[in-house]
Amino acid sequence: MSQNTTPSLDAVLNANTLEETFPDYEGQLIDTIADPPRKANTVPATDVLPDELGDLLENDLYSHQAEAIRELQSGNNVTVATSTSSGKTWVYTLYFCLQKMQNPDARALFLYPTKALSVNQERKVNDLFDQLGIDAVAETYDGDTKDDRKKLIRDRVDVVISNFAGINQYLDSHMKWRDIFKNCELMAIDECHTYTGVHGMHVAWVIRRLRRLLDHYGSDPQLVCSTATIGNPREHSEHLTGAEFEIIDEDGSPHGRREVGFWQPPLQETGDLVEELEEDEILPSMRRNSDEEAAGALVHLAKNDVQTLMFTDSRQGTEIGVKRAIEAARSHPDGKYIDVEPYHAGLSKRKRRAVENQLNAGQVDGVISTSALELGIDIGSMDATVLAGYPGTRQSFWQRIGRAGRGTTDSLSVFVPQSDAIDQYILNNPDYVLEENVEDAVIDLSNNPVYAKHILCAASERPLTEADTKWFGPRDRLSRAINMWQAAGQLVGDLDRGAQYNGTARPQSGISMYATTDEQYDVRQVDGEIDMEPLDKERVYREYHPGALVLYDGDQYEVQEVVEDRINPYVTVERSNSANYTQAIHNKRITDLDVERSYDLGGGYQLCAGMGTVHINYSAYNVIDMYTGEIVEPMIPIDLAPISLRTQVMWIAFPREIVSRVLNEIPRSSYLQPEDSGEFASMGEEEYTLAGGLHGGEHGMIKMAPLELRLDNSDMGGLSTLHHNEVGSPVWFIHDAVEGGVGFAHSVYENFQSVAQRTVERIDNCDCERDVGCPACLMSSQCGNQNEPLHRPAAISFLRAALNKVEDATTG
Amino acid sequence: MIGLTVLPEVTMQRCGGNQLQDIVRYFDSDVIFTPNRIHEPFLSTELDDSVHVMTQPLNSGEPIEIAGDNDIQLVWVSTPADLETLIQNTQQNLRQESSEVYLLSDQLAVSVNLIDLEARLDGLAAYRDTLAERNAVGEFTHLTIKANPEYRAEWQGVDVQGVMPSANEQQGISYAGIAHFELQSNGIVGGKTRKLERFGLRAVDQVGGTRIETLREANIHSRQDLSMSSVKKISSLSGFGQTTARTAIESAQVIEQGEIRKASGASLPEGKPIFIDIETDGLNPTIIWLIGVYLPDQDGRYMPFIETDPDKPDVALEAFLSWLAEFGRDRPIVAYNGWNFDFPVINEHIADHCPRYLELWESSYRFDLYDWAVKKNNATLPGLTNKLEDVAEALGWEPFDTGLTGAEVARLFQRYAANPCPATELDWERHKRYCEDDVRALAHIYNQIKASTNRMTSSGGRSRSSNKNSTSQGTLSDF
Repeated sequence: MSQNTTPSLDAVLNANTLEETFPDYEGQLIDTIADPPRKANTVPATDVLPDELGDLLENDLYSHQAEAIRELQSGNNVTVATSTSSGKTWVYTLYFCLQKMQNPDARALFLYPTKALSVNQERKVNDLFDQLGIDAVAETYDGDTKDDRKKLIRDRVDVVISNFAGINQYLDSHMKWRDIFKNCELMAIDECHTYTGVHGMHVAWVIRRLRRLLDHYGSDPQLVCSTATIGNPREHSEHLTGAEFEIIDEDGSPHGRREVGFWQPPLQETGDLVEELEEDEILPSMRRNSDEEAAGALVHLAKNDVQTLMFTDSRQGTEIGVKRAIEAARSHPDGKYIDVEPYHAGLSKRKRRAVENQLNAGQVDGVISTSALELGIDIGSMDATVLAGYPGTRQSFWQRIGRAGRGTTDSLSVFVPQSDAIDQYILNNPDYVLEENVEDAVIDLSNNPVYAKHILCAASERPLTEADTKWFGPRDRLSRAINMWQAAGQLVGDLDRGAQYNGTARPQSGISMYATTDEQYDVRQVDGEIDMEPLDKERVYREYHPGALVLYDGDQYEVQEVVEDRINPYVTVERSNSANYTQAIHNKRITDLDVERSYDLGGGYQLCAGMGTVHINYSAYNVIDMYTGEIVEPMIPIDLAPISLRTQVMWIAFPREIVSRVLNEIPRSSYLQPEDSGEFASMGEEEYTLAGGLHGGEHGMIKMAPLELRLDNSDMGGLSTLHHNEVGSPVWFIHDAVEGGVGFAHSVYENFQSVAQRTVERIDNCDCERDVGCPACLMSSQCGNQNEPLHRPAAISFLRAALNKVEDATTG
Repeated sequence: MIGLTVLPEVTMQRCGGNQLQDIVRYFDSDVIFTPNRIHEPFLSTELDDSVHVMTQPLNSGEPIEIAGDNDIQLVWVSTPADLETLIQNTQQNLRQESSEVYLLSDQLAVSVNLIDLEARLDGLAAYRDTLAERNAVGEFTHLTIKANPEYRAEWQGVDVQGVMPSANEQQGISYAGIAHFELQSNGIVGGKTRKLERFGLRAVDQVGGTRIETLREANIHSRQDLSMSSVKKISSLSGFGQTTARTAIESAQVIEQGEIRKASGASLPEGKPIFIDIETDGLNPTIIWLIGVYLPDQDGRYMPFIETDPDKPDVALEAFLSWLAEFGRDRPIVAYNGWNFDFPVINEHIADHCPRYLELWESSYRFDLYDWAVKKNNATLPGLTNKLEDVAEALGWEPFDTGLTGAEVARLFQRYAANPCPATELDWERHKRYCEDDVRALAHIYNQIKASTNRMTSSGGRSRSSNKNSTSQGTLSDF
């Protein structure tokens, strides 16, 4: 395989070439955008560094590196928000060299979002120390560190590299960390844009617990955050750490010409019927499965010696993608062998390291990854990337594309849209991804369930006193949390004398950094030894219910049993061999509404935000053919109790009169008929059609929300009903998908007008022109009701009615 | 004193007759309580008449006296009306005015609402109103089966103690446990919890559910049966190899015969040990108010370094350290489970309050006898658990009965510190004695190990000790 090719659309994906080489080329390449090359903006290293350091650097510094070091030298904290591979690690490593030259006892903490990244960066940091002749060593301390190294690293190593899941645990024995905590002069928080949502909330509290102990031992290190481009880098760093920051976002690093091809999957069906259709009559669902198409693009690039990284959304998606790629390689006219590997966080460390090394050494032709390779793991220069689906944010879109073509080499990316609403929107409006306003990172520090758990941890680390309102205040909130835990028998004492932890040992173990539910399920194989990371409860119920078929590191397993009546619950799996995968169907209810904020729009329209209890029941699953996407066996029952969560919700309630208004606005001929045997059989056609409008409005808003707000569809859910017991009228709900909520539904409430406006435009202008909509406007793969009923004109009518009321209310 | 032993449903479902007898013997139970009446016949068959069996009664319309004597009573109440009747009876009956009454009920349940940062005691309003009407709010200790045994809190003057293992997941880890309380005439509740697998044949190393079945089929029903079996016989059973059989038999022998076995090459520190034990105000304490030091080499001298003023966390520690600097340098400092509690707590408090001693302390020779024996496999200790009191008693130690537990001591100190006054003040002499008993028991075990010449025959597999104790480490009452 050649590592030196500079791929471009002309050389590889030129339409002429493709017609000859791409198997069954059918004009998939429908658009191209190009980001012109950017020249480097550099500053002589000796401008900011002493000559003895600066002279040893082979290159000048990029302007942003120099600027960041200058800010640090004036005693400020710094957030560096520049592109992938713009040398952000150098900023804090070089600054630590300066600190070390001033004070030989100086130590530092460098914190990364993943263990994989830690190992990767350790090498980079030590290489720079060597190059500059700095008498310092960096070493990783995490779950993989050998016992006999631990004390040595804590006591001696200048720069300790770790992650926040580890820090959460280590704070329990802070006395052992006394030396580094006392001498810590610098704390680097790398890729801090990854700390958002629920995970971000946990990290924000771990950072406060850490800073509290650093303060106790007498140090107040300077902070450096590095982040990919986000809308609010300063605000985010400040929320995350509780400190003030200067922002460096003028990127001085160069890049080559970047081209992004927009690649529309071809029609799946052929024949007279389809050929007669006009372009605007073709539905996205008539096209070939986009994951399969993306795997085909990956294979084609790989066969042309272009090392390619493909991104997809789920762990199962990477595994199924590899199977499809193997299939596509077999039918590709070029008989050359290619090697494609999956990569995701569920894989064992050994496997992940192996893939990273293979990528670095150019020994693998293609890798299909989740977001796990989106971060700065050094995997060398990729020639191309394929995006199977829009990742939900512009930030993530460009981060993925930035994985191709490091340095000044040109790069190529291929975006293959899914059939759903957002992807179709991006395909039709490529300029959207070029717009300036990148999404914000959201951390909700007001979330009490997460806060309260960290208060327990903090109290077990050192008794909490008045002085701690600095970290966990305001005082009223802290004392309410203490009073609650005291009444529950988990804390004793008070802020005057010190509130100390009184529960079972190590409350830190009860913190699950990646979700608010604590329970982790081990995975056991009944006929062998599976090496797999534990799963959270939601994933178990959704993907690892009994009967589920899951792929893991290329092998297929069938889930046998979910064992829950014990402290350490687990799932048993057995090797299996079928060409199918499974997808669970769920239904849900929302009860116990508690209104916190509301907006009376007049005329019986009400917009509300508050708390509610969502009951989700994974009641059945479909068995689906991995290659064709067809349902092989429908609706097999699952015997698991519903999952209930108390969380944040928003809802829009309509007056009863909306019914006649909507029915008047839509043609009678478009009314939907419920199926005779289905769960809606008892509904009349008017009722069924109205339900389709509400359901469509709810779907549309959830699907469009990521375009306005930094959030992920999968962090939210929804529910619509013509009559809700507590609301008493037609309503649709949007709710957060984790216990306690993370502020997503509430930001939909805050931004209702803009989200609803974008949604109505999208639905109204959808090319499908079908009453029941299509995956591009109303249908969602996350729907628990198999996208029934949905009614596009009714959804538009509901949304317009709501928007008119909002406009009246805001202008009047 | 009334010995109340509480077995939750999850424990009853797994508990064999043999284990049940072991439990009653171990705790010296007066009353066995379990909620479900269905277990009554089993309990009555397996236990003799000296133990009173109690299940949750249906609403009988009046309070039910479970046990009692002149000083102390334990009464079940099903409703606030029962409570009212009880108060009337108590107030009419002068004899009982000075006696301590413990109420057991399902009327009070603890729950927390994390979203609103609120804790609730469901049932409190009606319960407390009844007490308040009769002017009896502070009068009783209220035991509730709707809270965990570790739970103790005061709700508007109502003193609530949980008794039921796994009652509430929010209050901690749940497992098949057994809780035991020594209800005393002075209102002190000495609570302990143990896991079911510490009892019966299961207490033996290497013996779990499947192997118990195998042994039963081979007519081995008790630890004693196993301790007298031959390696040849046991290793011929399915699921047992030579090593497993040897380990299991040895483990049964150690428990049954109250003997120590030492690993070959295992040796205790050179030098004259200083035995220590600390008393604090909790697991993550704000004060070490008593450091008990026992010196067997100096005519068995016991020195309590004590400071009773909660605002002076440095005094007792400072006194101990200045003594140590002068007289104790280079001598091994021995504690039981020291690496999990005493040593790091002392370390942290030195750093906070008298850092000039930090180097002395960190360079001292600290020796954790529990860690050395159990975790590092240097010795097999007798007793159903590896807790200090169990091991010491199995080795013939006779404790002073102070009726205290570590958790109770910490709770009493907390109560005093929050409101120092004669009513809350601790009986300091009693606490010194309690601490003295612990250090002397520790020295007793240490000396027995030192003197022992028994060798372990099995090499590995000390799983009984390390695994089974792991979840209970870190509760004050355990070591």
